Amino acid sequence: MSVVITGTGALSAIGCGPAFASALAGCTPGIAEVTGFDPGDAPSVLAAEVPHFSIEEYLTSAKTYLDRSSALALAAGALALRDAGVIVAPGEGQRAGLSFGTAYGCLETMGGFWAGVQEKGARLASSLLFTHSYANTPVSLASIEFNLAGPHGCFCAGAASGGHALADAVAQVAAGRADVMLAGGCEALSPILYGGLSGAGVLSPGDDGPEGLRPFAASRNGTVLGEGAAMLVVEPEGVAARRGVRVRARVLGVGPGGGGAVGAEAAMRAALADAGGGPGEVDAVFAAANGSPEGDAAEAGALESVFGGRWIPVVALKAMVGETLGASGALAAAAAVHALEEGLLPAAPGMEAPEFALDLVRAPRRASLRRVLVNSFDARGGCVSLLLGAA
Amino acid sequence: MAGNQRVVVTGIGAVCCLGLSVPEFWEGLCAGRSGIGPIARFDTTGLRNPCAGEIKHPEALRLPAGADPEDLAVRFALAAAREAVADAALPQGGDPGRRGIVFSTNFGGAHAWERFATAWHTDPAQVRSADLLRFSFEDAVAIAATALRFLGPRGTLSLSCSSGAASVAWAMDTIRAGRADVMLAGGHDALSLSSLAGLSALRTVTAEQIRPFDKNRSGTLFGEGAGMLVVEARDHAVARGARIYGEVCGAAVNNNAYHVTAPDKQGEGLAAALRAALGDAEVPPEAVDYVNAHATGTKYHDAVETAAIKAVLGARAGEIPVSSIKAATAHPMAAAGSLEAIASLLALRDGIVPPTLNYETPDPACDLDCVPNIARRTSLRCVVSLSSGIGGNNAALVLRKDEP
Repeated sequence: MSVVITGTGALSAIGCGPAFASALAGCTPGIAEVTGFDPGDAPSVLAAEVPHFSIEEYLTSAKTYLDRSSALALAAGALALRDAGVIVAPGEGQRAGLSFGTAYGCLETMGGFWAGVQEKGARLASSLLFTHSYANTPVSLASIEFNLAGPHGCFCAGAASGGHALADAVAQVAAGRADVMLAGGCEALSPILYGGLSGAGVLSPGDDGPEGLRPFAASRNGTVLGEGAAMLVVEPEGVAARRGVRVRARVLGVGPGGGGAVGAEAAMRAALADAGGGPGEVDAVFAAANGSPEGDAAEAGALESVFGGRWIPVVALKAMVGETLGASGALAAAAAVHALEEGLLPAAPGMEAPEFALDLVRAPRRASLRRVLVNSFDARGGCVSLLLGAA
Repeated sequence: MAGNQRVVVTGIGAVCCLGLSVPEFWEGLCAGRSGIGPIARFDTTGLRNPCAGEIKHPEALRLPAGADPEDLAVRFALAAAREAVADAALPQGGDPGRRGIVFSTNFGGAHAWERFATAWHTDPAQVRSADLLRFSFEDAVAIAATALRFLGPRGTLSLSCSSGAASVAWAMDTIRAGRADVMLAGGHDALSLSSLAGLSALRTVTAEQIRPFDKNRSGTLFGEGAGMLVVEARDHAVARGARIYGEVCGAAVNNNAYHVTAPDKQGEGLAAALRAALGDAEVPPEAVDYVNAHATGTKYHDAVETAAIKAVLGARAGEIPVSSIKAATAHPMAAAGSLEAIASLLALRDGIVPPTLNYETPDPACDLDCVPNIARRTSLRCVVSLSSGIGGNNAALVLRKDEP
């Protein structure tokens, strides 16, 4: 069955909704000093924050409480469904599903809930905060908000979460279990996530050098956290044709793999095999590279194994939007859809040359694009690659 | 998925309050024992009920060689995974890239989280980032994949109390799609004050006893553990002469799209999941011989589940046993669905239906044969295991005796 993408909705540091697409073309920087909270004693001061975000601009219904993760997810869902012209009435959504990814879910609310238990005792624990604290709270709320009662998934696999969600949505559609799937991921920045990960040895500036996210560069010394959400609407081509909506891109292949360089290579090969093609037909790669010394080296090695000596443009989107963990795979897929439509590969300003023998896209570049490979990798959570094609 | 690949279970591992192995788990269920008792691991002041299905001697867990994670929830997962993989007797030297792994958890490394979050709020000098990583949900998968050399497709799910069943469904899909020959699948969670305080505040917890389907039921009790299944392509299992527990012939995972904590009172979401799973399995309702219910003992849920079973199985619902093991194991959160899948497979193997404990007073709203208090011998060919949870999640698995 041919599976197509008919809608995208993205929120990120470089822009939200239609502004995301224009920011991609405009070499827009997303990483700056944190303004939403005080980074405190953290050795890092940079992040990629979604600016001026207010859920009221996206939803018609009022909300009493939402974790920022849930709000970002709901906003992305509303944008994507509107883009695809999908409206599901209450009680009519059994063939409309939702597959979602997030690394840390509603961590800030979870922290607030636990602080309350610590201060006031278990007897006075807040049921409101608890209800809004799960990893799968965003996806549950989105199901309810958009009446999506069909196949349902929530993947928590670090930076691969969004890729997992998209792959699962494609599988559900291909299996005939759904006529339409909303799929993507989210991650919200919060003091507790930022502070918690700042000592984990993953954030720039690591041991030395200036702070920054420099994918594949010899000077890379860790990643910079970002936040955002992206959702895509995925459906069988026949359903899209009956609805008379514009096909924005095609999902040609999906590949899951394990962790590390071996998993990365396996995921890319599996996506290409799933599409029934080979590496020669890929016009660009949206890499998962996030400035990690080991992770970027593993991905570069896997790219070299899969593509041999072929000089293929490699986009490192995280240099623009930061490492958005659970949102990253879905943001990359949304960006890849725009790239396929516009024939334009995005880049962050001032990107350094790569340490590896690969054609890193360091300035926005015009290209004829038919097939783009999107990587959503996590060293521990596993690897997922998707091969997307032009409409 | 319309794939031709049939999917079977060739290994099982169980860790819960009834014991640290499948034989102890199954013997306890058949004997009508409950593992529920007072929580000893942490102070229960302020909780609605000081009892739970706590694992009393976690120091006796047997972990895979080379794996010694700190967090208890991860240790549960690894111990059950070790048992399941040993049970499957997979040959040495198979391609590790064709062996995948999918775990599910609702609260991850909950003890690491509490330590991290407590330090965060009270004593920043004590904050250890390593604890946040230990809490992260993919931790158990990453450690198990390395220790057991299951290096193929990898997934981590979190779908509240349908998590365990959803992991088995994902494994089935991955094998049907030809992406792996073998998948290790299951759920894991540990009791913690942070999760119990919240679950207690939601008023899902009884102040008395857990008594599924009983007229006087007043809530559930939570538990902990892990259930792990080695799920395998049938051709692959047959070719290597593996012992087969049963076939995973269909599954469905969905959402009520109704309310975060309230069940939809007609049970339409759960009924839709059951209908979809039977359709996926190409099994008619009249072929179902036993339903292993989710029934947690809450006032609403058990009646809703009864309505859903009757809506889909029709007259058949009144002719077959429908039992819940929750009064024996308590509700082990993400482990529930996978432990119950294991109980369902053992019911198929031995022709024994595990009972619903603490059952005293029939409820017209739960007018099913719930196999009260004493296990029952009966021949079974096809079993359905149901799960549902907070957030409106539902899952259904259709399991069948292996037949060529």
